[in-house]
Amino acid sequence: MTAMITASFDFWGKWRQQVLSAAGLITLFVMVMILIRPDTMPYLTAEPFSGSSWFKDGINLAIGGFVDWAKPTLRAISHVVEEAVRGLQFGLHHLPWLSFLAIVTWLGWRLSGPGLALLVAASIFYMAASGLWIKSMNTLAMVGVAIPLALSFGFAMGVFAAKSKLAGRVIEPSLDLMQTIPTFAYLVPLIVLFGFGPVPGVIASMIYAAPPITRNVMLGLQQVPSELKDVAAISGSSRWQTFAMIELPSAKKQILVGVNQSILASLSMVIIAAVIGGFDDIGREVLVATNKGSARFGEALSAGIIIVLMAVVIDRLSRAASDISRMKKSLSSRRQALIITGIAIIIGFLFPMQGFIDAAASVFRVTEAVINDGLAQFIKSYGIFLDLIKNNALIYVLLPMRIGLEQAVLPFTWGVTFTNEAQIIYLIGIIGTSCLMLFRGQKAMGLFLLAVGLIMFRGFTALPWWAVTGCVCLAAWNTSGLRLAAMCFAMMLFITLFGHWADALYSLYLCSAAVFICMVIGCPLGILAAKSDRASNILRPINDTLQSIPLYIFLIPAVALFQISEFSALVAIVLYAIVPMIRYTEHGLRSVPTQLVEATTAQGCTPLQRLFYIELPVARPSILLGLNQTVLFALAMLIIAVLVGARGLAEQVNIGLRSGDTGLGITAGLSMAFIAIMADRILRSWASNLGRSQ
Amino acid sequence: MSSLRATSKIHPVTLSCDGLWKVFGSQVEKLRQNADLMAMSAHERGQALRDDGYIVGAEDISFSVHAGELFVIMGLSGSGKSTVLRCIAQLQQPTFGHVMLDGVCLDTMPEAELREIRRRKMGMVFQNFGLVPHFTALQNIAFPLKVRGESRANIMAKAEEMLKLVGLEGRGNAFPSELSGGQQQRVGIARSLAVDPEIWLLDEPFSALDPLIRRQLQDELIELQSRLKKSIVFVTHDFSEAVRLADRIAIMRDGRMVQLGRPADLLLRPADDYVTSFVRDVSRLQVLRLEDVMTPASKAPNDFKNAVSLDGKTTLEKCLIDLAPGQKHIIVTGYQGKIIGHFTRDHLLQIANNEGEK
Ligand SMILES: Nc1ncnc2c1ncn2[C@@H]1O[C@H](COP(=O)(O)OP(=O)(O)O)[C@@H](O)[C@H]1O
Ligand SMILES: [Mg+2]
Repeated sequence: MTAMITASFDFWGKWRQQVLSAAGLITLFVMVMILIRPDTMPYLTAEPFSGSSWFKDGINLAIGGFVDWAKPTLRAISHVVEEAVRGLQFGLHHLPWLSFLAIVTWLGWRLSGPGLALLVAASIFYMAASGLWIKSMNTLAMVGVAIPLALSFGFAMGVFAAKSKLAGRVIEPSLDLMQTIPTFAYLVPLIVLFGFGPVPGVIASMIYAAPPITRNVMLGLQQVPSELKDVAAISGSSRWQTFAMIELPSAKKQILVGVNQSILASLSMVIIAAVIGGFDDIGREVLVATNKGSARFGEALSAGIIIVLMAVVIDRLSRAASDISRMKKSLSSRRQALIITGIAIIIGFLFPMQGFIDAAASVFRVTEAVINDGLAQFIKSYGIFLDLIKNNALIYVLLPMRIGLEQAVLPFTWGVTFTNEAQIIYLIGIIGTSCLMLFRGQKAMGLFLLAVGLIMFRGFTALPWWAVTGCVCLAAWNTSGLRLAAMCFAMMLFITLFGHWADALYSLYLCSAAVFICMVIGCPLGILAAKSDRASNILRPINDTLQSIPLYIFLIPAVALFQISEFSALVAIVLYAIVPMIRYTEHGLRSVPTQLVEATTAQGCTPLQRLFYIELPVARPSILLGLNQTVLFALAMLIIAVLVGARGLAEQVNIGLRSGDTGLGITAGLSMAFIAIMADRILRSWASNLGRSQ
Repeated sequence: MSSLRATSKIHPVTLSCDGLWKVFGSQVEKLRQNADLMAMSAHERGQALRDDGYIVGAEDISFSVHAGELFVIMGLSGSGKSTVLRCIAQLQQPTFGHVMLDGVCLDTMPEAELREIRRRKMGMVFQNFGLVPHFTALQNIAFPLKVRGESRANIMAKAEEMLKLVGLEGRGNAFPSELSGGQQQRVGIARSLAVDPEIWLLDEPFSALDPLIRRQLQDELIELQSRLKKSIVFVTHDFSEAVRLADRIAIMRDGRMVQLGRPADLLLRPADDYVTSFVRDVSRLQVLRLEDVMTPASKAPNDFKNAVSLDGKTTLEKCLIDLAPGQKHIIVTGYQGKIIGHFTRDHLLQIANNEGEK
């Protein structure tokens, strides 16, 4: 009996590849049919479930019920959090800037040394001198409440997940969700639940910043050597004693890594939450100035710099504080800390230096005006050039991807007409080439070419939903298995049921365009960095900076140069999402075993041959992981990019946010999360398959 | 065997394992409800479990350790020594069978009671020392006392005392990473002795150390034991170490106990080829004592002339060195100088010659 089952599995295993390929080909064939003659089968190409909104309505109803039920409790929580923020805000407003500068600078000195102290002093001085002191302090007040909340929430979850199998099974997957649901998406329900003002931002920040610390707590606790647990057990220590004396200290280093990440995430989210409004913080300032376009570039820039400085300073301070040995040293001088603080406060009150600050602020205003004029000048003289980039990208890449060559190729865009004959030649060319590749055994490349060629012909927005679903499920099945395929099917179904199909396609299109550009630019840069140490040394700090600044800042240069438009959104996404592509490519190439490199060189390969035949294939799993990260980054940025002209799901989330349409916001947000999760899972299992087969 | 029975009359049993099994695999807990399995003989049961894909870490292990006895479990790596030791310490729940400490059954005991027993009666030393890296040497030693909730002054005094016991005075504030391997294991030993345990469990405590240091610590252990007289279960894969230290040795192979006896028993009457392969590499002269090889008798034979009296505990090697050229006969004495047997120089030389030929 068992033998029979095993045998049939073997049989299935052998045929699985063939069946999958056949199913894939059939799907593609039907897709081809539809692409060629859409009008013949309207019921196959129409938007699914359009007109039926019972699901959406149901969700809205359910959420409405929940809100009414939970409101009193949540409002009480909201009140407490708000009081905390206001209290901190009050303190920070009344603390003279010089005192603040002195205290934090001293802290930086103690924790690290003169370098950090200088950075801290310069940054705080910048905040004071820019005339944005009050707004900066408002942001700090939110961050100051959000960080401890996020840390304790994340820590508690991590301990639970590590200690109880059941809790682990619930928490582990929800961490993925917490990080992949676009940040805006949970701002919507939070506003409904907690009201306007600083609270939803703080709560959102708590949710968003918890996963890193949770993950690291889990990891740290799991990594406690089992011998140490035995020692604790044999000494007769209770669970609590073991936890407090052995496990927690052992996991400390790992946990501190998470603390740093959580703190940065928390700041990032607080800034993003500025879209809610109702709290006059620095994120708001950037947002308002950015939305005014190039005319207020200077203001956006000077406020944006504050955000970057905050991120850098908080990052460096928390990293220095997590160096345990230094921590001990600086804690031993608690009395010194008190004295310094006292003196700093007195000095601050004695010398408010208001005149100086006012003077500095006016210098800033003048500088901003100069920058604005400069930018205006620049746009005036190079505007043609910028428009050229923008228009070319639009005509030759974005438009064909969105609506297809079929409609994008017009005399007044491409200068030619895409005649019927030309269309048929194009299709035959694409299908012929890919079939040729398929028969020569280059299956992946062939299918890829076919898909790209067909999509470019008709455009993303015209893809029939069931064909996309079929392709996604097949990809999931092929890379991982039935379970992932089933999960993908459910998620795709949800997206269509939510009524977000068209928006999802649009998001998919913008994201694909960005990822495509990231690949085209990022891969060569990664190769360059792997081959030349000098290039690597130049790229690394740039990458580090691009990674550590809050997402928001990317909008500033994009809008300054290209106004509010889809293209600005694309630029912002590419700027942010290109980093992993570069990094992972470099990493993958650099970790190709030297033996292999030497062996191929000895066989007389030219460097280029070696790159294409040996190094790139070996580095493929790493590059795929980079691609995965790039996709996730692009989706994360996509939601922010809605502020400067992205459409699709992100726009729906934003509409939900502004109009208080909770159902719309949540379902659109969930749809984006689903796309992110599917892409993540499929790409990751693909990468690990490749890694295993090598 | 007779001498063992004699000791057991004087020294009570501290620890005993009774038909101890440890089976690894899925759903092991359910095995105990399997009536068919429980009805089988040990041999059949082991076979049945292995056939079903279980890993049998320890199979029907029974022995007892007497007060003050140093009991060694010896076997190649993977033979199940640690498994037995961990079952004794209840770090792993035995699948079948029982572990008794001072007549109390440990494996059925509630968690809280077991914790109390561990706090007062058990000490354990680990192969890789198991020192807590974020504690100093002194804090490591103090840990079991702290867990027990003693006063700070008591803890510190006791920890200092233990540090002195293992010869590490002045190094109390060093972190494990600042100590050599030998010093780290000394801390481990001090920690395990801090609660003044009744049963002392050591799992390959010296295996991670250099031969020279290992030898030195073995000597120190012998010296410590002569003063402290603990009941010890000592695990090792090194037969010469086992022979040096042990009162009795249990030899393990593939989870089974293949022989149990005093070092001399193993040397003189190895149960099978496996045991013989270990025995081959140790020097009989160093291990065997006069009482192991003598002809038992209550008085010297008549033809003995000019005989020397030597204690039964004297090793043959020492005997060979001490014997003056002309002396041919040896009278072996025991407790309070009573004659327990006799031996001849020719016999001694014969054993020495056999040894040389190997
Ligand atoms: N937790 C476990 N799960 C499965 N098998 C184990 C486990 N622990 C030990 N074993 C197996 O039990 C056998 C005995 O292991 P162990 O007692 O550690 O050997 P020793 O200490 O003699 O080197 C080995 O075959 C080992 O693989
Ligand atoms: Mg072992």
